[in-house]
Amino acid sequence: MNTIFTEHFLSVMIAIPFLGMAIIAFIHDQEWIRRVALGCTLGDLVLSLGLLNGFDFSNHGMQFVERMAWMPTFNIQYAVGVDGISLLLVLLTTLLCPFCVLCSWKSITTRVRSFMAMILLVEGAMIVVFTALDLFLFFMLWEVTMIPMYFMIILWGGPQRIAAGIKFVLYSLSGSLILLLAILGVYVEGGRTFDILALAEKTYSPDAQFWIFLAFFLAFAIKLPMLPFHTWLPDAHSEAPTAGSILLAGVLLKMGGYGFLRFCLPMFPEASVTFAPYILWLSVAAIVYGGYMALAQSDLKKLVAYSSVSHMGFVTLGIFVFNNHGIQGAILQMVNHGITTGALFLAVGQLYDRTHSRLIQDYGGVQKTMPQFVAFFCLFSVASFGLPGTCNFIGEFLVLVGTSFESYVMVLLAMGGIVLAAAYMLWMLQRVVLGQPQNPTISQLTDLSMRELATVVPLAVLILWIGLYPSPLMEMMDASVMHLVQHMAEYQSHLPDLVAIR
Amino acid sequence: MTFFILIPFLPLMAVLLLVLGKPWLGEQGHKIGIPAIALSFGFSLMAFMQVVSHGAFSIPLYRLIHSGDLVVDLGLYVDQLTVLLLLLVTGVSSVVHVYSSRYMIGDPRYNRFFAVIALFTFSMIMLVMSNNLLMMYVFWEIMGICSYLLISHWGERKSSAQAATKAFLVNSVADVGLGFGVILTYSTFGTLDIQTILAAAGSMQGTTINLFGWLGSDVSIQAVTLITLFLFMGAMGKSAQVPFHVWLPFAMEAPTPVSALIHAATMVNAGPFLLVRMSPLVILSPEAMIFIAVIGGMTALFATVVSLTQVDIKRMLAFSTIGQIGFMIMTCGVGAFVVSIFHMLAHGCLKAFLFLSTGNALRSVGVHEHESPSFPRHGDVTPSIWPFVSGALLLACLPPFLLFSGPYEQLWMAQPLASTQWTFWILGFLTVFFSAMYVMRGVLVLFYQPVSTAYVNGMGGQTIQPRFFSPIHLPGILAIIGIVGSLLLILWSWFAEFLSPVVGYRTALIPEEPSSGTGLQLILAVAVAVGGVAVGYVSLTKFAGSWFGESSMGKRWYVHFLNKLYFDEMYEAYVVLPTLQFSRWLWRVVDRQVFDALILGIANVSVGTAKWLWRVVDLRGIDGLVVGLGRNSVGMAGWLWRVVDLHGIDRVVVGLGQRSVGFARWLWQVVDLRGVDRVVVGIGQQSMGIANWLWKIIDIKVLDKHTNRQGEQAEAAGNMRQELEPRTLQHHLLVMIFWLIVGMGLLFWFVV
Repeated sequence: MNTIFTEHFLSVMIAIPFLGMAIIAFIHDQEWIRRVALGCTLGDLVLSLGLLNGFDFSNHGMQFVERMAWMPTFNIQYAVGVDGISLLLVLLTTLLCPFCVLCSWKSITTRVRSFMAMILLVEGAMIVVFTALDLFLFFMLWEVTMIPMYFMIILWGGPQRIAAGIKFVLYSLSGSLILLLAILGVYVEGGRTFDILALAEKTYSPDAQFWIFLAFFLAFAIKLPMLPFHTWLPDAHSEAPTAGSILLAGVLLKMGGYGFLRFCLPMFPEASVTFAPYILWLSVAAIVYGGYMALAQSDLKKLVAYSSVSHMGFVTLGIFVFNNHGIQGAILQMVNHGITTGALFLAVGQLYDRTHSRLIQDYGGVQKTMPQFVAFFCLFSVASFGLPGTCNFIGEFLVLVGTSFESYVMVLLAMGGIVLAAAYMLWMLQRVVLGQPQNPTISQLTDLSMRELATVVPLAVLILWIGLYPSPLMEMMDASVMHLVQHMAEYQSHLPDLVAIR
Repeated sequence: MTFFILIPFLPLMAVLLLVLGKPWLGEQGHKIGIPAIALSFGFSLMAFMQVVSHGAFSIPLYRLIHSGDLVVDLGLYVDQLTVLLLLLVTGVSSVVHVYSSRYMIGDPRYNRFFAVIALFTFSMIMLVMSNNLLMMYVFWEIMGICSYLLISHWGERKSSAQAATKAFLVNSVADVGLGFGVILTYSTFGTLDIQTILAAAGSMQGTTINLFGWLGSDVSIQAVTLITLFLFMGAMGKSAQVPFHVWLPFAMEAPTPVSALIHAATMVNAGPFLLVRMSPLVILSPEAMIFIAVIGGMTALFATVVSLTQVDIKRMLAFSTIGQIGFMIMTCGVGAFVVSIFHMLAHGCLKAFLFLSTGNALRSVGVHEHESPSFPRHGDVTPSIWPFVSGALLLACLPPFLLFSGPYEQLWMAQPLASTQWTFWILGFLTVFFSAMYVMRGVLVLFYQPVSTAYVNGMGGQTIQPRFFSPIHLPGILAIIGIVGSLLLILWSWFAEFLSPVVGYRTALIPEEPSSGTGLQLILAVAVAVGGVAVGYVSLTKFAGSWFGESSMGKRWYVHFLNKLYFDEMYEAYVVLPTLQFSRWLWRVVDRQVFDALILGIANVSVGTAKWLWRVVDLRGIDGLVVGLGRNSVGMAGWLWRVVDLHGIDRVVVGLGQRSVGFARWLWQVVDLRGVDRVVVGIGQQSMGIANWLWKIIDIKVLDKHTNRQGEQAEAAGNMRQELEPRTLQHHLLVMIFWLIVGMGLLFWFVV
């Protein structure tokens, strides 16, 4: 028993959600299904804290590594491990899943078993995606995450769910197809192995770098999503049930950013440097564009969804400036965005459960009837636009500092995006929270229940904690990011002129 | 020394207690807030003594960010500038807390109010104590959100909700400048620690920044100028300088104590504070200083004139605040940083006092805040007029005393631009004149309106008298403020000496001999102020309000200034609405019809292609081919059957059949009967002969003997075998079959 926990720590973490799925298949009582699902997600959360405890912060390499031959003919392994980059994302996954279960406790009443199974499936798959050291394993579970999301959208979603689900699948599948091509390409070019660490050590010819990088980039850009490929996101987010939105925004989008850090940068450094200027401008455009989009929305969930596009712009901006501040900021931004946007979707879900409306114009004067809710909602909103003292600020500030080494104009434009963020969030607050209650529904709302408080309080605490004391998180990834940056540094000298050098 | 950490942390504790203990507190929030802030004030006094006797000290807190070479260590830094502001902030905050404990009675969000003003006090304390720019930026923004929360305190009113959003957004635009300034500072100096930056500032004068390098332009600007300008942009927002001033008049939607604390005495002073804090850096850039002075001067003039026209007393006070802060900014711009701080302290106390008196006055005539568009007039408020009048007079006379009495007058003469001096003089005098006028006007409008336009008052009776600020107490407080003020005036040179370690001087440019005629200037300035008061009084009593005169020109100007030169309308029309329209257009056209159409287009094209493939290729092509092939095949088959099968093969077969039969007959008749039969019969006859011969000779004579002997042996063996293996029907059958096969084989062999 002891060795299972020490030598197969990650496997145990991965196994728990799948075991949970197996267990709830045999339970008939809905209440117990929910409890078992909550127990599994909480168990994983506790285990991930154990992972944190055993993690050696000064070591930049993979830790808790497990390897097992799977299909030896093709050199496919079951190999998992975590380093400073993936650790935080694994933590984020295990952190958000209990909230997904909790927030759908009352709002999901049909097909409870399948719904909980979907959440557990996504959790298990996501942990594998973030820890996989084998490309094939990575790709397989990458695909697996799509399926439960699709069903969550089309089975428990809003009125436009079918169209949203189809769009989501269309985009995801196109991305997967490109990703598959990229993986085959790197498999052939990299000496017929799927081992990610081994592939990262190899050097590739410029042509191969160009094409394989492009394919990887497109796949991850669709998932993240970056500017021209973002339109699946608002629809999927707004039509999905609350738990689905939290999973999508909180965890699934991070696969894109993680992909950039795990594959694009270490494997194809020259191609990354070649493409960087375009990607940086695209990121800046996404930040500003997402802000404008969110400003135009009349639907609460779409507003939050478009704000995600804007926030994800900061992630790519940070990653492709190739310096310590930028990449640390980007990873922090991914974690922070997971927490704040998850919290925002949670809060909007709590409103939706009461009024069954997502339209901003149906609200107004919520402050009067739900003061507790409003306190948390305001905190999440201001955290979302990066008010200093909340977690998003740290990430955005680091990204901006990192960007300032490349171009000042980009910094200014991105800060303009933050102003837009403040504008849409405060305008939304003004129309939803402040003012007089306009209809009887609003004036009869009940404030948060204990269960709902239990979901928002931890997130609020986290938001403030990371905002005021982020150094533990930064310490976790410091060594790995430093290693990555040093790896990139030798290629960075020949950055093309498209970006102004200050 | 470490216990000075309690100065910010007592208010923080109060916030936490108020937030967490909200359900149990009832209307008791002030019982937590007041002691915390008052104690904090006490510690500030101790810190003041400490700094007076031992100089600056610092308290490290913790490490906020460590990323490569970007290290941000939070810490408190207390020097001469800090302690003065600490005294101002905690002092005014304590008074406002006490005042609010009565003023806010009956408010549904009583505890929230106290929690937020305590949070505000905490963040303002942290701001003035922060040792690095990032920390300053953080608390700068937290103050902003506190301001937002307090302006929207009565958020049920639409105007209040809008004002809150407006205040924060205007500030967040300006804070882009501050944030960018912080980032520029880091990339120039490699650190964010303020003292390190200030120490290194002198050596950075040669450093330039090419801000728009991406455009291919090569315009390098001095780093110190750029940093100062961007930092100043943030200051312009927080301190409501033109063109970012629009939020402050609307911020008067907040409860009056908040206006006194945040929007008059403390938060809006953050801009001058920042400039003074960074003064060793600021003075390195004459260009930036000119800009600062011009902005400050413009604001001072503009706001004081506008305040003359406002009908809402709180708005009038707000514009006067803007004007006074413009004054402070202007003095910073000309290099007289100490004057700016002095004015900030005096103005903070006085303006807070004025606002609290206004709250008193409004409450005592029963007007809830300033809902009434017109002024409350001539009620039973006469007792509280004297403090207001005296405060007003002090405020009117303060700027001339400050600006034209100190030794710092030489500093603005040290400006590189010769005209600066004259600009400053003109602006200074104009501002002094107008501020004296509007103060007088405010007092008169509020209390001495002619009886003919008297306020018909039906609700004068229901007053809530704030506990400490009843009219009886006010003169006492005023007296204290007056004494403090005059003490400060007397101790002016001490004050300047005290602050000298923290402000920057442009030493090289100070002329050797200070200019003469200070006394004359002072007298002149006081005369101007008195003139302003007189004109204000006369214009109001004689012309009933509109001192712009009755001419059409005057009226036009009056309307322009009444509408604050249409800044709000212009922002609404040229910034806010276009942004919203642009975003909607972008969403409808670009996002829906271009980006979304991208994937939908691909999907539609795929489906279309599939349909085309199905319709054209599949149905017409392949299906046609198959059907055609089928038809052709059937036809072919028919043809084959008809032509080939019936005519060809059939005939051949039939012919062949007929011929075969004939051939068979011929074979039978000719070969079989005649040939083979005869051969066989012949062979048979001959065989019979040979057999007879063999039988006779070999068999009977030779073989019989052998056979008999073998027969006996065989019989014995057969007996044995019969016992072992009885013959069965199967045996017989098998043997028969065997021989049949052998026979047939032989026959076949023979025949073929």
